[in-house]
Amino acid sequence: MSVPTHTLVTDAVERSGDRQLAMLVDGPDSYVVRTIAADDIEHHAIFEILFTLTDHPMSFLIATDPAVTQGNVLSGQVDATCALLRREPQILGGDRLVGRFHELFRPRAVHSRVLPAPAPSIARQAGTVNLSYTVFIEGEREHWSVVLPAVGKASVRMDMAGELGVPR
Amino acid sequence: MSSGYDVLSSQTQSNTSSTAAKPSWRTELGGSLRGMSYSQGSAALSTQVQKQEGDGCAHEHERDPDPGDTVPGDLDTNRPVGAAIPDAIKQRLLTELRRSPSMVTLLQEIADNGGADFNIKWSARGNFQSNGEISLDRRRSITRWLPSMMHELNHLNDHRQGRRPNPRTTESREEFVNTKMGNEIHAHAHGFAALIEYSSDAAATITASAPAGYDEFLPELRAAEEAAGECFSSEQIMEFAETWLEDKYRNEWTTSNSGENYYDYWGAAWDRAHP
Repeated sequence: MSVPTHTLVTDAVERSGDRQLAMLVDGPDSYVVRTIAADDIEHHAIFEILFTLTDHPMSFLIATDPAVTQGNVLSGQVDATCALLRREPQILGGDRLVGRFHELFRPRAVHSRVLPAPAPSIARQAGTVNLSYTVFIEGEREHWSVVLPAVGKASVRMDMAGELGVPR
Repeated sequence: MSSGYDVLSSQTQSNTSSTAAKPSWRTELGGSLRGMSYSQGSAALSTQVQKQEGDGCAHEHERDPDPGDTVPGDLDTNRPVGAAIPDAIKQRLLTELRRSPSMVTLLQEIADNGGADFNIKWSARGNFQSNGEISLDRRRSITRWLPSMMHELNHLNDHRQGRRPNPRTTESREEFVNTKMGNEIHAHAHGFAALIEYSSDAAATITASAPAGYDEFLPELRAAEEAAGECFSSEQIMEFAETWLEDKYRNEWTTSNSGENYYDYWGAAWDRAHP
């Protein structure tokens, strides 16, 4: 399989509007690319862009078309992650959706994982999928509420310790 | 990563005047880090080194809230990613950092290698140094930024002195990995030592979150000191910490993004840069 070109990577980052990634992807020598094996993803190719000049392991995911001609940043980009899932109905309609969404969307600069309790929930109604789960991230618990509509903008709300909501 | 919660306590000395009640200190542990790595320099635990209420430091309780104590609701307006942090926060951090003698030495070394000033910007996630600039997580507060600065300033110093290896231009895989990890372990160890120095300063004003692994490290350090029959100097703490941390990075902790061993991760990065 071919890998994304530097132009594809920078175009994807620019489209994402993520200024932090834009600052880090300042040249083809600033990162290496790893193909992510994902048996349950049928209509996309997934790549991890790993920064090599940062002091700590930092990276982000890109989803491309199977021919790797164009792509979108997934990490931290709920609309792009939602768009991918809409085209991967076997994941969107499956019972592993919370874990798969989190893995594709999560910020990869910090440790995070979905906690088993309280039990993550998936609610599907009129084409919209709502996820509700608790994340252990940077030593703290956050409650994440995710809305993945059939059309229109997706959203993630992260409530830190039940006090601060940070819409994304 | 463990979600277990433990409690430990430690006592450090007070340097307050004889007319004031001596402050007591405590270390609270709100989480543990077994199995996780240092996450982008961010203090990944909620362990806190803080002064207790009613500890006799009345001047602290009368102080107005300082910048960076809380997280504003509208981050995009108040802390836009990539923008410089407010000068008041930067100066406050530098003032507090200078309460650690080894941080004073480090800041001087940075100043001697490119000037005393450097940029500190807002980050969407994680605290890190890149290309001579430090990024601080806008979703956090000064309690986490302080120990992160103690770590990231070491990386800034490495950058200033050309000690950060590039996988494409470093011929030896082993040299790349060992330099990369040596820098990280040194930064992490200095973060431990500086925090201990800081928490020993009675004038310190920030309740600092402990960096990754500090909760496990501190009791082992105290045990080593007890066995040696002496309180270690900062240099001895650094040496002890570097040995302790190397073992953690080699055998226990994994990267946040891929869940790999750190040495394997950077080795693979070198491999990909040399197809």
